[in-house]
Amino acid sequence: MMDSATADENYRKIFVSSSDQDEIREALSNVSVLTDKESVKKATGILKDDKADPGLRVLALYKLAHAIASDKNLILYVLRLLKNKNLPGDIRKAAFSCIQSIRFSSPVIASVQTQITDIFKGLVEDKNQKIREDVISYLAQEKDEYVQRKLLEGIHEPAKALLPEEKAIHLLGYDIHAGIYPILRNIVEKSSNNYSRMEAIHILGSEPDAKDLLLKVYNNKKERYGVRKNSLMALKTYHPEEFNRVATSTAVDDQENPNIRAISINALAHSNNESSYNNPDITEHLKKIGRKVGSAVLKKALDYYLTNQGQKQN
Amino acid sequence: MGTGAAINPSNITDEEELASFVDDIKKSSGTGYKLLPLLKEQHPMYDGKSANAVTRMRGYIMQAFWLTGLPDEALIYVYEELESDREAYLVAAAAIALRGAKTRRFEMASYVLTAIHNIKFYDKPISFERYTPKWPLRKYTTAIYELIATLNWLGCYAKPYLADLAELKLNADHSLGKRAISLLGKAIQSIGNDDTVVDTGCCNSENSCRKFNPGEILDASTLKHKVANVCLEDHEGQKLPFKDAFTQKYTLVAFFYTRCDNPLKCSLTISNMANLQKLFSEEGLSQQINLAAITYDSNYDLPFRIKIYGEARGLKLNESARMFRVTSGYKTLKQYFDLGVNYTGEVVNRHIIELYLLDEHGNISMSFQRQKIDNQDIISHIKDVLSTKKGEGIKRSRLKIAWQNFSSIVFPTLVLFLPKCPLCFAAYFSLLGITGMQLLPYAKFVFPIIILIIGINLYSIFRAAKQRNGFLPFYLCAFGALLVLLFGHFILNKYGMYSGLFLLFTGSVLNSLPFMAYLKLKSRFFSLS
Amino acid sequence: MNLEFAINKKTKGPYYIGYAPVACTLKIKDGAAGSPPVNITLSNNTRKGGQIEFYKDLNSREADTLTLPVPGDGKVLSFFIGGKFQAPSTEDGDAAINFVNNGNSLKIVPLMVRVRKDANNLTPGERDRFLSAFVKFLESGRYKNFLDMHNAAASPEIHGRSSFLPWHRMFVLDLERHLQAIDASVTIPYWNFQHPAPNVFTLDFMGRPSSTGVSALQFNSSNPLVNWHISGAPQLVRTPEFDTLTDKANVESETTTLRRGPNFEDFRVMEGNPHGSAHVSFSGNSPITNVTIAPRDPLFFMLHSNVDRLWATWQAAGNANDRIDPTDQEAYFFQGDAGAPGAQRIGDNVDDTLWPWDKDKARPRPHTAPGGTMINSPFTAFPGKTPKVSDAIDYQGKTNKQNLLFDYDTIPFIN
Repeated sequence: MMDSATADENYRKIFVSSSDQDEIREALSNVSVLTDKESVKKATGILKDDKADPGLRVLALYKLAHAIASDKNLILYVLRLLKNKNLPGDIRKAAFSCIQSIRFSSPVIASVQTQITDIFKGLVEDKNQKIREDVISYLAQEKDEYVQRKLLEGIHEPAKALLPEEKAIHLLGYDIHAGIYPILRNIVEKSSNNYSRMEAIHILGSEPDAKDLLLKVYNNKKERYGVRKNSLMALKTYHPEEFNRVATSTAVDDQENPNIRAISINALAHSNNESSYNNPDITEHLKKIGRKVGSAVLKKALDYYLTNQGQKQN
Repeated sequence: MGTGAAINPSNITDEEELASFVDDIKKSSGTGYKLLPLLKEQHPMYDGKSANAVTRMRGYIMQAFWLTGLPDEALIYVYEELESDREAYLVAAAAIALRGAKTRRFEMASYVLTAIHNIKFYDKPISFERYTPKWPLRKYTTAIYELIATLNWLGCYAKPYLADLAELKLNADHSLGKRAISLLGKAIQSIGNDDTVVDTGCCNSENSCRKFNPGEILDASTLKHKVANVCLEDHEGQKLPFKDAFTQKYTLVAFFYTRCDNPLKCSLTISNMANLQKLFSEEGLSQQINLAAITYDSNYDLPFRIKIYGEARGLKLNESARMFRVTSGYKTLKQYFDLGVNYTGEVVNRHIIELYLLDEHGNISMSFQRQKIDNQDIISHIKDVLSTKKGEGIKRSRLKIAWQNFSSIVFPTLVLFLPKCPLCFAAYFSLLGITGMQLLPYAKFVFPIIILIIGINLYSIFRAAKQRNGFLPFYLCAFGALLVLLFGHFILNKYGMYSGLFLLFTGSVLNSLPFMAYLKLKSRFFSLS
Repeated sequence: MNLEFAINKKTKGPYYIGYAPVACTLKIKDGAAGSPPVNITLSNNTRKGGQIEFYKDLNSREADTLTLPVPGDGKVLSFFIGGKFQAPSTEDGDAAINFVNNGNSLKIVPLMVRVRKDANNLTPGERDRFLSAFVKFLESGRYKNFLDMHNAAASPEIHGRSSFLPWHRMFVLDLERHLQAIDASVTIPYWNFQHPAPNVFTLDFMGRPSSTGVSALQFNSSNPLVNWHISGAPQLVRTPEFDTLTDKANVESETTTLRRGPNFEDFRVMEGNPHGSAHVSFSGNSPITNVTIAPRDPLFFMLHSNVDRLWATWQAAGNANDRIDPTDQEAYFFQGDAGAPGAQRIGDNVDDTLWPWDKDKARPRPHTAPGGTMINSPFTAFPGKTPKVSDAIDYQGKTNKQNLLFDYDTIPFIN
């Protein structure tokens, strides 16, 4: 039986020498990343051939990742593929994925960073939803001011929204300096979009003045589970004393939603604060109710808390 | 539209207003000084804005200096961006602003080179065509392109850095694109071919880069009044008032916050504090001076966070090196230090690098702002301060300042009025009613004394130059002295000599003026011209 | 008879070993001068749990039992032990050495054969202990250092260059040792992205994206990762672009990766595929796809544990020591240090120290060096506070007799 190194070499040879499209496709599908000159040259030719089958071009792009990562001109070519709205979506998406991937490995990526940013910014209103979302996500993660402007515009004027509101809020949340807290408060207090509210409450945690709102939301037992959970976690990260108080109260509240209780106990057990993870009142109560607990997740949280009593935090 | 001219810059609150104002100001040259008040971080228009908005606002202001002219007082802001910023928009704006300066300086090239190294991995496409550009852009520039353009503009002033530029062009870290390398190559050639002869001792920054500023020395009652009871909590959770934290010893205080995402600012500041701590120990200063860092972000920067932050940057936290957050009275503290920071809600949106030396009463003795911390420089200033005794030190430095003022007036006055030549003697005696020109037998003994007095005067002004009003007064005095010597002794000409005396006197008076008064006078003089 | 046992001079447990042999000593504490040696047989105390192998010295083969003539006069006798391949522990202290003399058990020393395992095959206990330790470390505030070591400022220093693999080996080790300071039984499991891993992307482990809203990751309420909240970041998102139940990530096959060669410069092409490809096997809004914020996702370290395992597997497949000897160009191409003529940029040469543990902030390094020096293990002083590139290469200590005290369940120690 042929070993894999030999098989790969065979596929490479076929790829380089064949002119039959099916043979080329099969060889390209099976060969590993192309690194030798001949294969790279042929694959680049396929990639740059506007008349070639889109699927084959995508395959060539995928196998050329290593060559692209070391070649500024090829990177720029891939960017042009992404920018070209007349190309099939698959090629453009593969181009985006290629750029994302080579950011982890390319020694020359910095030299084309401005072109990448320029082209990505030009695509924030692209008709292809996946591409639009992907470039907006990338730019938002880089705290780009243009994309922040566009996202905010979409929140204020829904007709201009590039993404659903909750996604826009989520992406704005990458920048604590984005100045969006007043908008988030408004959304939590007034919006009927619970996904937006979940995002907003999570991000509001980093705003010190939002403490009372977080407490109000959490203490409302009729509030949606995801919103309450996020408010509890936000309290934990930013207002540890208030968190300790409300989570302790929840942990011993037998009338509380078991999932919320489980999360509270879980959060207390993993807290940095000894009065949270080593609380005698909680311990006593949990020991008392231990066997009677019906909910599996609550039982698990309870067991963890009791098992880890007294374990020293670092 | 022309509405900007009617706007009072102190009243600007929103971005549109700002953009309109800047667009209008840009239409005329020589108006750069109107933009100056907008550069202070404390300006109310930055309050509540996102960090990106602040970047845009400051960048838009700064790039306008190219058209309006860049006042010397704005240089410190421009240098600050070049030295410590990672926002391509601001760095590009600063590079453009520099080209609005009247005088090219050697130090500018150093800042530009630093900026290239800072930004090369973080460059972005930029447009200043309008305040809020829309993508896709028709064309764009980048911070690197603008920095290279500024190098071109600097010409021969960038010559000392040709070797560094050549190394940059090799692009060993692959950070520069093809076009940037090509532009850099052309700039290197152009700089190399610029054979303009420039005095290498000339034209360095006078007071655009003031480092340690003697602070307003407050007495104990003022301190108590202002900031003594501001509540602090240290990295171990120990709570204490300001007056207990910062008295009994001198303290070097830095400001920072853990959520700062510019590694050239807070992270580097605290790393530098750690290095200073080591240097204090090596120099035997640890017993005399404490280190402290106070967070701008007291709500988030809980004790455990600031402790980890400091330790991760090498700071050994103990009784002499502490990190603090403010639990109450932050507004008072902010006012006391006049902190260069602003906020969107409770989150910092912009801040400067700032370090303060507090004396053993908690008074601000010196401040160091906007520039990268030079530990050796700080140590040397601290040693100067500490070498004076407690209490007497303050009086002595007051005496020192008084003596400097006195000597800078008396000696030139003596020089001015003491007879230096037969003509002067004639003038004097004619004033006193003695007629006829007489060559007095002791004239040849008086003249060396006059030279000595001139020499003392020049030396005293030279020494004071860095700390007071820069080198312009010194140059005036030196030139004046030359004229006095030439026309008073070698080529006897009373008009030449009087001119020299006038320059001597003017230079001395300028040197002795308080700094702000000197600046006002200077800017008025230049704006009129 | 008072027998004293020590591993790496530690006379008190708990003890943790991998597959690579560690130096041990035995001593009869109450031995009298002139007393004859006492034969003591070492064996595994139990067939369950982790199993140990014994080496008389590093030139000997491993054995399931070992009889040693321990000096009766109290002098120290040295030998070595290592975990048995494919028989690691699943619980702390589930392995033990029985010291027997004349049929009498003199001492039983519990220990753990602790290796990095396939995350898909962890027991619930192993999984939960790892997640708990990770969350507790996050809560301590120190995880921020790791985010700062792998952000935009750091990226040019740690990616796209020869030292990518050595640097990330130290990065993973640094985190692992911090987790072990919280729970010593924990290692960083690897996400084997070149095979389907249905047990990893579950509500009890790495989470599943919600089908609504922003597709934030969902966890069971008892999952420690419910607490995973990176300060200043929105909810964690990770939407796979492959079927996590049936498919591997969108990467090349393991066979393809491992057959690269013959030398390190050929192998390190894997930085692109499968490493980069694994990162971007998720939708574009997932932090793990963005090099500057990828460690915000706890999956990051499991991904890199596997990247490291692939390197270790490739090293083990070499002839003799040619892929693990730092002085051999097949193991690492750029010899010497940055000061030598013709050297690479600092950080790429085998004798260069690794940022940020070396605290080097001079250009061309990044401007700050967060995180401090490398944490020590209680069991070894290696690699020390400021590791070099070379220290990352021979991780089992075959050439330099100093090992980094981690192993993979799939890679034996071959003496």
